[in-house]
Formats: sequence, structure tokens, C-alpha cells
Amino acid sequence: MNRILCPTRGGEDSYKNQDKAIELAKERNWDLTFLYVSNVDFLLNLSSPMMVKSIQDDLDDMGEFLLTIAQERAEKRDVQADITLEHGVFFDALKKTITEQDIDTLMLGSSQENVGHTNRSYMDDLIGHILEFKKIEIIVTYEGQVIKRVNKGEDVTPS
Amino acid sequence: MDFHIKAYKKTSLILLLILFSLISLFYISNRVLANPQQQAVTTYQITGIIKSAQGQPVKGAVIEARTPGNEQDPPISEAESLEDGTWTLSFNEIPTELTLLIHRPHFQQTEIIVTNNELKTLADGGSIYIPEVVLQGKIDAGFWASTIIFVFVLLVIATEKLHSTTASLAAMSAIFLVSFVGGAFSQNLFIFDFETAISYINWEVIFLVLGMMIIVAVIEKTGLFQWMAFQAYRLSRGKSWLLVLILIAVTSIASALLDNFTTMLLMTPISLQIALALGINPLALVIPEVLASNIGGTSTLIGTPTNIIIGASAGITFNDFLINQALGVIIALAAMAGFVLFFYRKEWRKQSGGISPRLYEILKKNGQIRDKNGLWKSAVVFVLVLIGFVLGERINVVPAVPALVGATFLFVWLQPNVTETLEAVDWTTLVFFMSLFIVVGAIQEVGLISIIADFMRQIIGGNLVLGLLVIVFGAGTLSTLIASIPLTASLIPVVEFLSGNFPGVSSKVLYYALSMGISMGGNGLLIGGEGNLVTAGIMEQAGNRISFKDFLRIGLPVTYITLGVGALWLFIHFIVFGA
Repeated sequence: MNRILCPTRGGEDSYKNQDKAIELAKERNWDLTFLYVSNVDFLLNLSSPMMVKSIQDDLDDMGEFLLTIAQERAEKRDVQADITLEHGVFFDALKKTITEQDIDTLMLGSSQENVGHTNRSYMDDLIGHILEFKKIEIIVTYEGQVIKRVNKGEDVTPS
Repeated sequence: MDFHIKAYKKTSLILLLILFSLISLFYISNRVLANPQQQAVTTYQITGIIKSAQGQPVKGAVIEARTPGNEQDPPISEAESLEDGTWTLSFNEIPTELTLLIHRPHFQQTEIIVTNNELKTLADGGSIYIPEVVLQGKIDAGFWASTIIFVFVLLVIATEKLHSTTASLAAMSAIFLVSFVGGAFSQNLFIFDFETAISYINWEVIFLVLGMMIIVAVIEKTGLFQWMAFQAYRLSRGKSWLLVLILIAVTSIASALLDNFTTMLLMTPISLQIALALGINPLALVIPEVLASNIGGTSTLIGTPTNIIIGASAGITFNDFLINQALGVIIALAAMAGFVLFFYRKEWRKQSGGISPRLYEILKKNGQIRDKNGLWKSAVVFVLVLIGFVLGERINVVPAVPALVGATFLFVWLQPNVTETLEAVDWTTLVFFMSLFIVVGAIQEVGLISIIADFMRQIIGGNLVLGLLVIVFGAGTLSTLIASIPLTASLIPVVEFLSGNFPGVSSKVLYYALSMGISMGGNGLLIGGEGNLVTAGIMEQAGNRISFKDFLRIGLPVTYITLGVGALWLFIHFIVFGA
């Protein structure tokens, strides 16, 4: 069965992108996985390594909560979604999940042009790296609208 | 034959006796001569006191007694000024002319000619007292080197180009290189010797922070804070305005007993989940918690690292902070809560449809106590440590002692993994403290602090109220931009100087003003405190980014409201009621 992967951080900004992933899963009758990547590296400059290790559990709990919200939103629209929590660098976690779950379509939510980590240039780099190791369909959305679509390495973004 | 032997023996015995007598006589006569009562040696003394142009005693100034025209010869006598600036020169004979040369790095050399009358007084068996000698500061290469290094480290920390500990270690190393290597080439580059440098490290602060870190490392694993946040959610029964008030109270109490960073690290993830469960903007819960943690931490000695530094430097005890500051902090919190309720008023009107049983169970699980055994034991120890702080004052026990004893007792009683628990101690922060104390010591040595203090004295004059306002709002404003720990370490000598400017002010009100200003000022900007930054980082992880503007819109007004309340409290408590 084909599967869509939607990495998400939770939060209202991500709801429209989650909705798009749910809509696509329903339309294609594919499986859907929501992925949360927990990374505590931002704390290393601020705290001792041991405290960073102990807060990992709290951040995992938070991630699980956010994923469950996404899962319930999918269930309200009759889509059964799986949830996966990974740790570490986002790209490495993405690669691991794409490989382990044999993902066919990756749906990425982008933020505004130059704001936050998921800005456009970051997305372009990320897409390039993913396609280097597996030629899958990648859809980039912004506020629920598709702004870029790459199918097996070819840019097929609707005009 | 027998007769000759007997005669020989008799002669030998006599000779021995004579020799023994001579030796005894020689020994006794020397002892008599050495006895001052038998033969007095007169010591002449000249005493005095040395102060800086700012009226501060100068320690470590060298006073050389010389005869004019013999500058190349060693001095007749030499002394060094003590911590209080006093000095005593002693010598055995009085020259016909005498000059005193006083010198110290970073001060201009001063020469005092001892008058003939004074020499006569000395010769008549008296001692003479040289009136207060004021040494003028000297702006030399060492001054500029220290100042540039200090400003550089503040900038590096503020811009996060390097980890703050790396930055302060680098600054400390630069200071040593300038002083020892540069000082070998030019005396003007000498800042201080190693012993003097180390003397600036406040070990009471280091050990108190160390002890509390160990205790906190045990408590934070118990899940207590997460449990308190979940209970707040249950108690509020879906009323988000009530929830935020309860969380403000919980966070401020937690922050008064633990540090802001740990408090927010533990409260933010669960608070975010609760906000989502209620259907409100997570910022409406989390930002007030951050503000409360910065304000609440002001109320006790151990609530912030800056209070620990201020308390250790100014002799302000745990009890002193509670009695003189806690009520003012509570009033400031109330003012902050009022503003928060108004600022996020649209959020309180949102009606949540409730959360699913599945999400509620996850929230409940995340808000559980994880280690009941560890919790009650660490709570007992913590209470004993607090009692130690309160009672320790009566027997002159510094707070570091109950903190360290409590930490050790926890190790023995709980028997946690010692390596793991010690790894939880933020050694990087302790090293940061130590190296920073040395860097701030350097700028004290070269006179930069004195210049700043003198400048502030010109502004404040003898007006205590003005002094209080300048410190509260000045430190508060600086604290929004500059890291609080180096700022506190460098402002303490300034406050010490200014406190001396107000005769009769023994209430240390200006130190409390510094404490309030520094802590509450941390609410001004997102970069104002580590608690702010860790919260922002966690919220970013959860897709709820706190932008600079988001924080500024509420943080800046709250800062100046609470600084105003704090200043008013100090004015009423210390100046009107003369506490």
C-alpha cells in the first residue's frame, strides 16, 4: 500500500498542511504517517548534557501529544493515520522514516519566505538531498496550498 | 706515678670547669644583651591611610621610605597597604631627611616629604600619622586592554557568537596574557598577579550554586512540576483565565526556590499541551509563565544566580531577601497578572470543546509524579536546606554550607547514580562564574569601575531616592540587553561605592534595587534571560514560534510596570518606613 509521510511540529500553523496531507491520503486511498522529530541540540548551549538528556523525555511526551492531535484530526475525516516519533537531526530522521516505511510521497509544510527554519531556500536544499537518495514524490505546501511538487525528480508544480 | 696521674686529672678537670664557665658566661651575657628590657632597640613608626580619588581604600599600594638623592639604593623601609587602605612603616633609625614614595599599578606615583618637625616628633619617641593620601588613577595600556576585553566579552555573549563560558574563559586568558606577558615588557600592561586574580572569585557563590544544582538535579527527575501544571489544569476546570493565574503562582513559587531556567525547562512542554487541550494560543500560557519566573525568582536568595552573587557580596541573607523583597515581588506579580489578563483577553473568551479521552490520558500520564520515593526524600532535604538558610544566619553559617550538606545528604540517602547526578551539575556555568569574576576583577583593578561609579555619583549626588530609581531602572534597562550575570558582577562594586555615598544607609537598599532591576529587566526582550530562551526553543520545537515582536509587545510593558512597582515598594519599605 502506498504511503504519504507528513512531518509536523504541531501548532496551528501546521494544521492546514496536515489537512492537505489528510485530503491527499483520502483522495488516493493511501496510508498516512505523521512524523515528529525531537531534537534537543538547541539546549546544549544553555544547559548541562545530563539535564538535556532528562528533558528529552518531556519533549518526547510533548511530541507524542502533538502527533496524537494530528492523528485525531485525520480520524475526524475518516483517515487512519500512524504516528512516528524520531530523534536527532531532521534530515536524518526523515531519511530513516522514508526508508523504513517505504514512503511514496513526502508532504512538507513551508513557512513564509525568510522566516523560521522551513523557509524556501531550506526546502529547496532539503528536496535536493532527499531526491539524491530516493526518487519519491515531494509536495511542498504553504497554508494548505501546493507551492511546489516534484515527482521522481521532475518539477511538476502546477502553475 | 699515681701522683702524676692524679695531678693530670685534677688539672684537666679544672680546665674543663673553666671552659664550661666561660661558655656559660658567654651564653648568659648574650641572652642578657638580647633582652630588650636589658638593652632597648627603638622602632620608629609612620602610619597612614591611602584612598582612591573616589574615596575607596586602596589595597596593595607599596610605600617606600627613602632618603632624597638615593633613589637607586634599596628603600630604608617598605610597607604595603591593607584591605582598609591603612599602612605602617617601621624603621630603626631616623634619617635626617625622609621621602615616602607611594606606588601601585594603575595609579599615579605619589611622593610625600616628611617634614623636619615630623622627623623631630619621631625622634622624640612618637609615631607620626600621615593624613589620608589620595592616589589618582592612571589610565594606562592595562586599563584599555582590560576595558576592551570586558566590552568584547559582553558583546560576544549578547550576540551568541561563542558559548558564554568559552567567551569568559577567553577573556580571562586574554587578561592573564596581557598582565603577565605584556607586563614583562611594560609595567603599564601589568593588571594583577595570579593571587590577586584568584581572590576575586567568590567561592561562597560557587559552592552555593553547586549545592543547589545537585539538589535540583534530583528534584527535576521526580516530575513534580509537570504534576503541578496538570493539577492546575484540573483545578481551573476549563477556565483558561483561572489557569493562567494558577500557573503564574506555581511558576513564581518554583522560580523562587529553583532557578528560572530549570523552572521553564520543566513547565513549558506540559503547559503547551494544556494550552492545546484548552484550545487557546499556547503563548497566552507560556509567556506569562516566563514573566512570572523572572519576577518570582527575585524574592529569595536562591531564586536567581544574580541574587546569589548580590547576597554573597553584600552580606544579604536568605531571611533578608524574604523580609525585604518578597512582598514587593508579590505585588509586582499581581500587577503583571493584571496586565496579562488584559493583554490576552481574547484568548480567555475562547470556548474549548474539550479534549478527547485519549488526549486527556496522555496529558494525565505526562503530568504524573515519576519517582515518589525520590520526591518525598528530596522534598524533606530541600525543606531542611531552607531551614538551614533561615537558621544559619544566627550562627554565622553561610548559605553554601546548608546547600552542600543537603546535597551530600541526598547522595547518601537516595543513592542516585553519582556520576549521572554530578553530570547534571552545570559545570560550564560554574566555570563561567569563576572566569567572569576574574575578568570583572581586572576592570576593578584598573579603575574602570571607579570611573563608572564616580560618574554615577555625579548624577545622583546625595539623593537616595534618585539613586534608587537610577539603579532599578538603569539596571533593568541594561538587563534587557546584557547578560545578567556579568552585568551583576560588574555593577556590584558600583553599588558598593554608591552605598558608601549615603551616610547612615545601612539597609543596603541599593543592593535590593540592583536585584529587582536585574531580575525584572530580564522580561524586557526575548534575549533578556536564559529562561526566556529555553522557552522559545521548546516552543519552536512545537511549531509555536515566539518571535522577538511577540515577546516585546508584552515583555517590555510588564518590565517597566514591575520595575515601577518594585521601586515604589523599596521606597516605601526602606525610605518611608526606614526598614
